Amino acid sequence: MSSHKSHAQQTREWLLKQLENVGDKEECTLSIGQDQAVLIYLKTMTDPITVQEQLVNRFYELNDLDQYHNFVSSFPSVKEAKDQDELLGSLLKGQVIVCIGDQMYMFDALLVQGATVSDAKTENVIQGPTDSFTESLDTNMNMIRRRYQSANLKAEYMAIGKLSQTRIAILYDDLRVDKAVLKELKERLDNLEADVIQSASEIERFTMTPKWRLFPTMMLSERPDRTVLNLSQGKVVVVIDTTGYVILLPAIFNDFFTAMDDQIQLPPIGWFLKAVRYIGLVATLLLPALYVAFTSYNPEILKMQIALLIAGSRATVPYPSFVEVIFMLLAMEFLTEASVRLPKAIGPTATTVGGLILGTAATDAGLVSNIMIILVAAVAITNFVIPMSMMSFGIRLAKYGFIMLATFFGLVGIVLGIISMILYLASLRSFGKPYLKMFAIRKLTEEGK
Amino acid sequence: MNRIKQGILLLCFLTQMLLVSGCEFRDIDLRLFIVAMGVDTVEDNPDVLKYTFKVAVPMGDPKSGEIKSLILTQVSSSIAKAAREIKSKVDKELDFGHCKTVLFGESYARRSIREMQEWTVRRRDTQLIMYPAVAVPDAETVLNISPATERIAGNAKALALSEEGTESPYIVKTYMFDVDRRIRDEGIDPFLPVIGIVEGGSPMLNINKVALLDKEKVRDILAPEDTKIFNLLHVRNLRTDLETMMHGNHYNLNVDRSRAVYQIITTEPGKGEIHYKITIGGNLEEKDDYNKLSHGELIELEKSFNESVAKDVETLLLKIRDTGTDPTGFGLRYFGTHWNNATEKQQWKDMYPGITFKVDVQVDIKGTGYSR
Amino acid sequence: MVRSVYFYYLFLLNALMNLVNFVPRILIGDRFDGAVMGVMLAIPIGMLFMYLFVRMITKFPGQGFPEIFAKYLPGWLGKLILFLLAFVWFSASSVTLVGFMDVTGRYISPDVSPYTILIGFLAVVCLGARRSSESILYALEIILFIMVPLIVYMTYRAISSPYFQWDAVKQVLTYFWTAPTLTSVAAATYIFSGYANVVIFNRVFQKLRVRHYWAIALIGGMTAVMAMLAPVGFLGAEGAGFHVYPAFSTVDSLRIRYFIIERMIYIFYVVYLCLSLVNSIIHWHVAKEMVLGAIEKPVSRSQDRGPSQKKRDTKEWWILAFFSAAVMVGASLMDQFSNNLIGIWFLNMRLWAELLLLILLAFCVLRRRSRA
Repeated sequence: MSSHKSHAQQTREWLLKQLENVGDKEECTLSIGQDQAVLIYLKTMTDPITVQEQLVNRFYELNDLDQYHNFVSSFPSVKEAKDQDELLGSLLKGQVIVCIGDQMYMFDALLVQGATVSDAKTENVIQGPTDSFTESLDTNMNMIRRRYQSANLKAEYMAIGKLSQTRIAILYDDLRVDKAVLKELKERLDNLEADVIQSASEIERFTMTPKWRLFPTMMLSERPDRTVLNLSQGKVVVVIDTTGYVILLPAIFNDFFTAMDDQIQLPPIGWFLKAVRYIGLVATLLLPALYVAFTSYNPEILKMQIALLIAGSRATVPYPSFVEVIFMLLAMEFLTEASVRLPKAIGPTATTVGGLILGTAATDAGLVSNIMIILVAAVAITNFVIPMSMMSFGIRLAKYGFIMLATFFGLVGIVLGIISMILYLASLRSFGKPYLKMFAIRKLTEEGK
Repeated sequence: MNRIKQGILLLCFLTQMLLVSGCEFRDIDLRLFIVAMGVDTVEDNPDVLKYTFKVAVPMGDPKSGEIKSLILTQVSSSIAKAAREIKSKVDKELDFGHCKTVLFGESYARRSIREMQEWTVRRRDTQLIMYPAVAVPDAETVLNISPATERIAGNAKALALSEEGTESPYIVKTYMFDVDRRIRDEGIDPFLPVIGIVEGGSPMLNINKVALLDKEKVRDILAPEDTKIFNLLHVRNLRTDLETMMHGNHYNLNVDRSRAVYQIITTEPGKGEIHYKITIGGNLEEKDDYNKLSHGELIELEKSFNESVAKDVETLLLKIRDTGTDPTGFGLRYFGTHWNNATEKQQWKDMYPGITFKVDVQVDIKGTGYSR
Repeated sequence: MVRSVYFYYLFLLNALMNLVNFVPRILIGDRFDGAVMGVMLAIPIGMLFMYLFVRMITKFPGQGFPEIFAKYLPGWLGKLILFLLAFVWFSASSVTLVGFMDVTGRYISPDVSPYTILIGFLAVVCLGARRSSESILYALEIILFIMVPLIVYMTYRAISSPYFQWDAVKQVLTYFWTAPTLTSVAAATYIFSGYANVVIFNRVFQKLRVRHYWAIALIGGMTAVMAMLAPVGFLGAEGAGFHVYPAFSTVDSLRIRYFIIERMIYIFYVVYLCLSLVNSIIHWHVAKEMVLGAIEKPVSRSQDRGPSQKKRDTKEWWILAFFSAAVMVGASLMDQFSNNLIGIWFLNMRLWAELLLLILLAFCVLRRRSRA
């Protein structure tokens, strides 16, 4: 008898050891006199009402361990565990482990957060899951745990922000994570000095050095599937209460050009899509600058046909090329900004009015060349090819730098800009990981394993 | 904080640059592109030359297909001077960056093309891949011609002289850098295509001759048929036709594969022979004898082609040799295959005027076309 | 910490850099006076230097020259030599930068003042040289991955062009047995001296191991041969000597048919501007670290930005400002011929400096062994 009991004890201890550092684990002991029942469950995965009503309240109502034992085992879905692994697996699936004496039952109290979850808004994919995170930390944890059923997934809870006391959870796969990254993250979060934290990007901004950056070195995502993929790659996830975004880190340049489609589609198509995004990056950065350089400094570079075409379409334009470019690009920025702020119902109208009518009228009036309109449209479209909007905003700003350089130095300036940008990106570090590097993906996964 | 300071510093620096450089740039619509130029002698004054520039005028609407160009002429003592003088005749800055064609008027080319040619190679904005040509009767006349098929001002000449446009076997292809190195190197001489005009009717160009230069002046202009053979020797897989007579009938071969290789053999000290081996493949395109052709006759026909082409080639090579020019670069080949660097040049100089040719032609008729 | 593969990148960058400017100009200048033999001699010499250097430097894992000297040489001598070596590195990048300023003025932006251009170059090089050694290597890797395919494409286009004159190449090769000049050997060995940058970058190598010496020899040899013979093939055996920038003239002779840019030279220019900027950044980084090593106490490199780091930053800025000022002054004093002369001086000086480097390293290895 005593050996039996110690076996159950052992199992429970093993279970708790597996769940070390898992912050959303609950262990509650119910006792009447000397008799004890222990409930072990993950609170983010189970329905609290079910647990309270069916397991806790009933225990005290019955007020007798044997009767409670009978009551629990009478549920059709309740099973007795065969071994430890099954026990752990079911726990991670959202079941409650009920230990009564030497018996261990698995009680199904899974909480499915389906109703409140809405579709992803900023990171759309074609044929993937559409769920996005909600603004509740527990729901988000539930969504992640459902997709990553491993005891190695650890969660540590903290509260940050002097006034807001925002709850956050640091998630990582214990076996794959880079411990140095984790340590650095914790240090930075401890040293965080902010009164109110309301969004993931604020944490991003307050924790990263240098503060003056154009490109994000942490990734914000609203997609559980991306989060889970990143966890499996050994990255750390910070889930924040009251925001629908999680932070993934370390994030390198290439991560911002990865959409979840790449995983969903067949490999050649995935590669092609990625190549398209990088071509888009080059186009959106360089096209306006190249236009300035070619029209103002080096028209002899282009083929004669193209040079004459540009010269012809610019014949009536009354100001130099860089004014024309900045003028049109600003118009496009206004349009983009306006369509973000406008209610959904009027958005398309604004785009039509702005894009089509303004563009056509401007060329007809001879204020802007035809080629310029094509260019601006191409720049706008290619900018949105970049899947992560934080990166896309950085690039949007960076292209003005290139235009400036082209205005001062011509083609040489563009080359100087490219070199500076590559150097700048290569010198950035995201939690010690080089931000821009060839073959960075392979390296990262190798290290993870 | 440090970053912000750096950023501000950079901004100040860039603003400074704007002031220092004074915005030196000139937009594309304030430039005029010279697309072709030419040079001619002036009849009554040997000290000055007449320079002609063809300027493309960009049009607002590219779809209309209308082209406008401007011809500017300037009589001056040197090209560098003329290029400056001509600038005061136009409102916008002249740009040589798109100049594709340089024409040497025939009388100028017979004197020396060196001045103009040197200038184009030396100047930074003129391309080394310009197309040089000799213009008959003179450069100005040829530059004034805009064929009806021309869609971009001045483009017709450049297109015809490049690999992109027509594939005529009568057009020899060369670039300015090619002419330049041929002038500089010993044992090889430049050649130029000759652009003529079609008399009467609508304005049209006619490029079907080659001018052989003795380094810098035209020695001889070959007839169209000779030009074709000349091309056969120098261009691999030339698209051309060849004709022969057999049993009083006229046959014509469409060549789609051709290759000419040669070897210089010193038969005895001071005497040399050049062995040419030409392989040609093609299909029969035309025959006067409307009967069916048998296989035996086809082999006979090949032989007849071999003989007639070999005869044409040998005649041409002797003719070129007698002009004293070496457009093929036999000399360079001789220098490149001999290790006696000190004496080889003199040896070749003595040898070339008396050199003989042995031509071996192998015509392979693949088929007789759709009908036998 | 980086893998050994970056050693090959350092070599490759240096080799590719020498397809333009001084090395081809010197080799072509000596093409009839022993340059061919010079290249042939340079391959074993360069490889031997590299091999010895790698063998010795691997005895000091994770240490740059400043650290090694501080440990094994008397203080004043180590400092003096560090200054001397810094000067060699600094002058290597200066001749490149001034040369490229000249090229830019010639081919790309004649409208912009060359000093404006130079200020732009210097700004990028200064900002770049301050990055950490790893970052510079990562940037180098990316830039090489973008540029090398373009260089391979251009090389392929040059060699496969029907206008490539093999006879001219053969003519130059027949001067094989001419005794080489020291200058041409010095120029050709420079192609192999990319390894020398490891004097600083050895700090970040995680167990430097170099294999595939045959591949290095092959690529280096091919580069040397291309640097000399591609211009000869395009500009003529004699003609190549008449061009100020033979490599640029060669590429200007290539035409791209199916692209919005027609002249290959612009692609070539962009590629080489990128490479020479990165090369200068690497050289300045090395020179800066050497000077810092000479004027500072050797400290283990720490990532934290404490007050000592700030002091170091200020020193770095002063060193780089001094470098920039020296280049600006140098650029204003030089013209085409003096620049070329200084290039030749530098190449000769460099050969001896490299020898000095090896001897010093050998001395340090011996000291280390006797201490152990």
